[in-house]
Amino acid sequence: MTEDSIIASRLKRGFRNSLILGLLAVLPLGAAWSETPDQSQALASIEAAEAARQRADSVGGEWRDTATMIEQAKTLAADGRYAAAIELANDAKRQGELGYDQALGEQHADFPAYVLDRSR
Amino acid sequence: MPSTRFHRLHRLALVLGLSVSITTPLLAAGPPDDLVLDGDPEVGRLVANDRAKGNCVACHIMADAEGPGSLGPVLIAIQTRFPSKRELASQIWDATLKNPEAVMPPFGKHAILTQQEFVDVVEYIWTL
Amino acid sequence: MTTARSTFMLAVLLVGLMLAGGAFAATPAEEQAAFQAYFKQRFPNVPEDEFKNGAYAIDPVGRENWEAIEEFPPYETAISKGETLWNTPFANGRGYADCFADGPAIAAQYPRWDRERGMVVTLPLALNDCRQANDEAPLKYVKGPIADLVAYIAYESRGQITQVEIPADDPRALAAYEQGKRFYFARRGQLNFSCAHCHFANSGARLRSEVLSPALGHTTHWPVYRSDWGEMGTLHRRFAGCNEQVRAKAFKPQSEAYRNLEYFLTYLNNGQELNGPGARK
Repeated sequence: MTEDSIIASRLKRGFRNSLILGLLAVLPLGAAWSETPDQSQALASIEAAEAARQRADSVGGEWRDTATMIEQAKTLAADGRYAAAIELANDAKRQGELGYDQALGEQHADFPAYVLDRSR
Repeated sequence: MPSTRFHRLHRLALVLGLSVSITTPLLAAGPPDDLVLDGDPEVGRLVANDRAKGNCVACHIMADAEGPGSLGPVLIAIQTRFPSKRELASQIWDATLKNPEAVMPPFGKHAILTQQEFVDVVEYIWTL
Repeated sequence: MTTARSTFMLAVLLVGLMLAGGAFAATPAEEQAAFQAYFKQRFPNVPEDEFKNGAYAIDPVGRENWEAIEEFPPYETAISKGETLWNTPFANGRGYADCFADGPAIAAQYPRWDRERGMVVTLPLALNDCRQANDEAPLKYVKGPIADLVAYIAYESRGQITQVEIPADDPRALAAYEQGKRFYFARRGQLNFSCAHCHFANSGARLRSEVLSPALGHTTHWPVYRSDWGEMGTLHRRFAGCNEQVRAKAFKPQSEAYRNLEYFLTYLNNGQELNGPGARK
């Protein structure tokens, strides 16, 4: 397999995984309907953050603290601190999205031109 | 024939659209237009010197900071070097907007600082 | 439909060319030459055989401290522990010498492309392969006994010259090199640095009070006793530490990503003398 096809298949897998996770993320909404909406929102935010983290990881773009933030959000949610959990989960989700975009943008990273001029 | 032509155009559009949608996230924007740059310079000084936050001194020589690094330019006479506070904010938000090879971390874009910390740091650096 | 398809293919090709920038593709040998020429021109007063000393080749104050440390090298215990490990037979009566006929001075043979397995094999990986072939549990990769063993091997290999090969007749080897290259130059983590951002144009500059070391010389002296760790660590431990410093999630030691990174970086350092184990801040 070439490098590009490996990346392509990883991306495809990442997309599939996030699709599945995205669907899974919606499930608790239904399951937790009888509970307070805050808790279900917190769980949904955490699931969405986890999906974004896995998507970044699938292209080697996960950041250092994202998984820790998600764990902390889970602890907050378990303690009933839903607003704080949602805020942290949303930050983690943003990290996942930024890490994914970053890895995609760096797929063709190469020697800087001041070392090796590719346009010659 | 017209339908084939349609297909051809359609596919070309699809490919071009795809390439645009792939590159669009890379043409990232600076600070949000509605971000009001009215921070507290004294708080900004603390954030700028915090190792886990701004950590400006890791790379820049600046007033009142010990053991500075030398990767970036000396932070002095800032108002003569940036035409506006917003230009300075843009540089701190994402330095690669101006120079794709810039080394400076994108403090705003990557949320290294919260928006409040960001405006405070901008305010402080603007006074240097 | 055929014309539609060919138009589609053409468009794909055009987009591909746009992304690639219609670039001139250099061979690994040309890239290696450009890399080494860059650092020699950046540090014209550093003799070629000094780059193996890292930041201490370019920072006189740091060098003085380092030379004082080298009077009583902090890695000496690791070397003697490693020698004992090397000479202690496995439960089945065999030992490392049965796996490595040229041993223990074998550091310059790694990393190398393993044609049968279709992957880059590093020295720590080969040592664990030897253990597992003899029904011994594998060692953990970042510190402890593996670092001791590699320290002993490195010490016995001092003076050997880096000579990584990329076999021209196996495109998978070139692909591994290319993957290592992309890893090296890709920005990563929240801080958005690539390896090159610190160790190319900013080598010699100070990050706080630390002088950033040039990439030429980075692979010569492993494993290292690092004052910051207070113990020995392997090259992949350092890779992981660097990744975390830029706030990226580290990869696993001996993962494909890090083995290919080691392959790329060591190949660029061909010609450099091995002087491990080392001591660093």
